[in-house]
Amino acid sequence: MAENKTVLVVDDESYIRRVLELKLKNKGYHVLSATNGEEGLALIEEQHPEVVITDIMMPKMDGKTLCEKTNGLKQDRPFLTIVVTARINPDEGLWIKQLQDTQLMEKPFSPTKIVEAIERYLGTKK
Amino acid sequence: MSDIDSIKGFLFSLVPVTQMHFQVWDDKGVPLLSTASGAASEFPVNGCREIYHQIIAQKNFQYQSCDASHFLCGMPFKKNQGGLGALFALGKHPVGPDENEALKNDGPDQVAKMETFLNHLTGLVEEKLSVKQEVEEMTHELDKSFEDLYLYSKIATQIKTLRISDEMLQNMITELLENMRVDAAFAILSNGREYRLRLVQPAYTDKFSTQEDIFQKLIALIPPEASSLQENYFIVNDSRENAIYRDMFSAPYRFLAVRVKHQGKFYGWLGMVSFNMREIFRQGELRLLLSLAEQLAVVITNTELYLELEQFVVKMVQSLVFAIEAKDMYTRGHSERVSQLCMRMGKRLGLEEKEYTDLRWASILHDVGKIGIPESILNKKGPLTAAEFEIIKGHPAKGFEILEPVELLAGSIRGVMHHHERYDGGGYPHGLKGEEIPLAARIIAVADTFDATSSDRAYRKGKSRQEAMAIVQEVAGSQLDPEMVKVFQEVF
Repeated sequence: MAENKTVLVVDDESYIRRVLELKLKNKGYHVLSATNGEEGLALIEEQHPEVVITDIMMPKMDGKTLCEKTNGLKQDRPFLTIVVTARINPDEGLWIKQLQDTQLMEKPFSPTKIVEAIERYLGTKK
Repeated sequence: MSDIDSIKGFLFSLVPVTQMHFQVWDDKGVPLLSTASGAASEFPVNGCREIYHQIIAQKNFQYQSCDASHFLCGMPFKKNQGGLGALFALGKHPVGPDENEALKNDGPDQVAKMETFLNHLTGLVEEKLSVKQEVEEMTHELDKSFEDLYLYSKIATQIKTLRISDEMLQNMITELLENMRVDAAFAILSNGREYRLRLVQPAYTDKFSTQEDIFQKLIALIPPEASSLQENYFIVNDSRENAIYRDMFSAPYRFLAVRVKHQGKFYGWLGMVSFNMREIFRQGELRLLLSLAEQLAVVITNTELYLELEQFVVKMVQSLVFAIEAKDMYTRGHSERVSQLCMRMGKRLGLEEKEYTDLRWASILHDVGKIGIPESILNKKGPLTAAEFEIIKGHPAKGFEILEPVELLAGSIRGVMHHHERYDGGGYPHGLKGEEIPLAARIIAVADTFDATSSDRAYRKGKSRQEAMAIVQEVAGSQLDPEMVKVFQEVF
């Protein structure tokens, strides 16, 4: 299932990117990474990843803006967005609910749970 | 091997500068990369194989002349897990003073130069590989820490209740099963009554279902001398390497159990079994499980304290009832009978556990206020004077006063206070009407009226059950709640 599937990790913290990269590469995914929303947006438009994992608080463009800017793309080519955040904000779930194929995961997150969520999504959406 | 990628670019960039080609072989003698294009003639693989064995056997630099124009040399380097790989260089013989003639035999000078060069090169390769490996190991560790952190955040907050219940235990074991990613999790506890719970991942139910007691057996087999028991846990990392645990299941497994223990009191075990032998039980998981077990033990201790307190209240209530009935010879057994009738009605009404318990205490203690009434009035044979009747009427409020300080009975005191209210509003002490009267009081009123009518009193003989029932029905709607009378008839 993981073959030929691309996952984009957008996070300004390198250790988060490394952990997810290693985890996903070991599962056979092709992994791209970006350090902010701007880079992430460019990669989504160029590389069409099947899954985007993004932090919220990042320099240049935050994860919320990234999600909102890319939500329109999902009509033609749906992909999964997993928003991970350590920020405590009761309203987080609200805007995420408005977006297509977008899930929230709180930090500390379990890398395994993220992989499971991806597998579930790719398993149901061919 | 992806870890060689990082060296690839470096070696390729050396080709035009050094006029040499390079190959890297791994510790199994498999070429990993070559800067020469595919053609075998460009890089003498057979020559490599020959000196590869020498390099590996002697663990040092090897050099040989291939033909009139080329030499081949190689140097071992340490690969990730300590195995030796080799780096080869193929170059042209240096050109001597006579530019048209290459040196036939390479001088020791040339050999030494190549050895130094390859020595530096393999040093760089080793460093690059080990740094990359270290980063990967650290990332892997970090990955595990993330899992641990997630686990802590999920499970450490699990125990929110102060009292142990099947539901609480069920939730806890489910969390363990899901978040620790094991195939079975179980608790074997005893605190007065036994709690035994096991949960198994659906995929593995066949492995456990036929052996009901397998978890108890796992615990029973723990050798008492195991040193880890001093730290309240026991682990089998690989059942294949453990003589005692080897044949418990058809597949190899891991097993971890921790004691549920608090302040020297031992309540039982929490345990987990996994058939996934690629993973291990980690330190972090053990610590978490130990702390969870400790929390559980605290909850059990609390539960025991609570039960003790409850027992104390039961004893106290019994003493109070005994005190009332010792004064009033005609009401002997009345409280107990009223309580039993109320319990039947309460069941019929489908009361919740709390309401039911409150009704139990209220019904058995409804006359506790009579403690304050002189025996001469209670046991008077003739009709009561108006003043005496006023004193009798004070008993529900007095009962309320007596019980009010007892926190555990807080839910019962209104039932005691209002059991002499009338449905039509003509009762005492407050003249409440209809639904204003607490449900418990309306229930008690029915049972109380029936038992008082059917049993002997100081001033009259008791009526038969049928007669008493008829009287109860007669006052339904005036004195008693007709709905409760109906319920009473149903359980009569």
